[in-house]
Amino acid sequence: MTTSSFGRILEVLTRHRVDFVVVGGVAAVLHGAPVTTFDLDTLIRVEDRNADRLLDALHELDARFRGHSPTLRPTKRDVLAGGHLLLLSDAGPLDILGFIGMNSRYEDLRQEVVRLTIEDREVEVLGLDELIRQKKALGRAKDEAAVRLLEEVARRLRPSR
Amino acid sequence: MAPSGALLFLSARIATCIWYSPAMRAAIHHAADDAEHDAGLVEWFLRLTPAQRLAELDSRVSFLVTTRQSHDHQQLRPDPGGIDPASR
Repeated sequence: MTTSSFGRILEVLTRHRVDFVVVGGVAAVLHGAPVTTFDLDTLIRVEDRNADRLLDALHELDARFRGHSPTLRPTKRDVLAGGHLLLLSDAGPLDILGFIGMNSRYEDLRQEVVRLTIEDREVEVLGLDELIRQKKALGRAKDEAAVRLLEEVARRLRPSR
Repeated sequence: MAPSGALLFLSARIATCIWYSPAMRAAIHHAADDAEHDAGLVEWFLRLTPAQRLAELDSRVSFLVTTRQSHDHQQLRPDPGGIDPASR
């Protein structure tokens, strides 16, 4: 059985110096919204050397495609294609995203990223306001509760707003 | 022409009946409960460090996966803050 450990995935990615930003439900949790999510969404920098570092990290995590081809491991070509890789690692489901929302890439969101410290490691996380914007833009019913909680977090962190 | 007193009385009665109907009261109470529930959870969660929030998420996911695998849907974990979902 795969034991979920988002902390372990983040530790491995940062140790391998992968350029990535945590987005999605785990980003919401890190900001203080008590939502439950089963996968870790990461927006990566789609670039040659970063792809090598990412593949090293994914190898350590024994990450393979989940779903219909669970024995296949992602290749450099897959990473550089810049799409979405939905993987299952030995520490739980991991989504490697080349873009989010309306084709926003790693480089496009540099101004919207905050750095949070987790177990003595700095991890880049999509900022609260941008996260709310992205979730609202998706317009999915399943995100409504998360948006409500994120807005409550924003209200508490900025009471004068 | 001004509405008659009887018409005003009837309108007020209808409005009162709608306002105090069980369905309306339930909807109002549920909305208030949801907002209060969210605020309480966020207040508790913001007291944790990002690492503690991540550990809490790991713990919840592990619990849900284990529960689903064992098909034991009776194992409901109380909400943080000691609120037992079964009591609501």
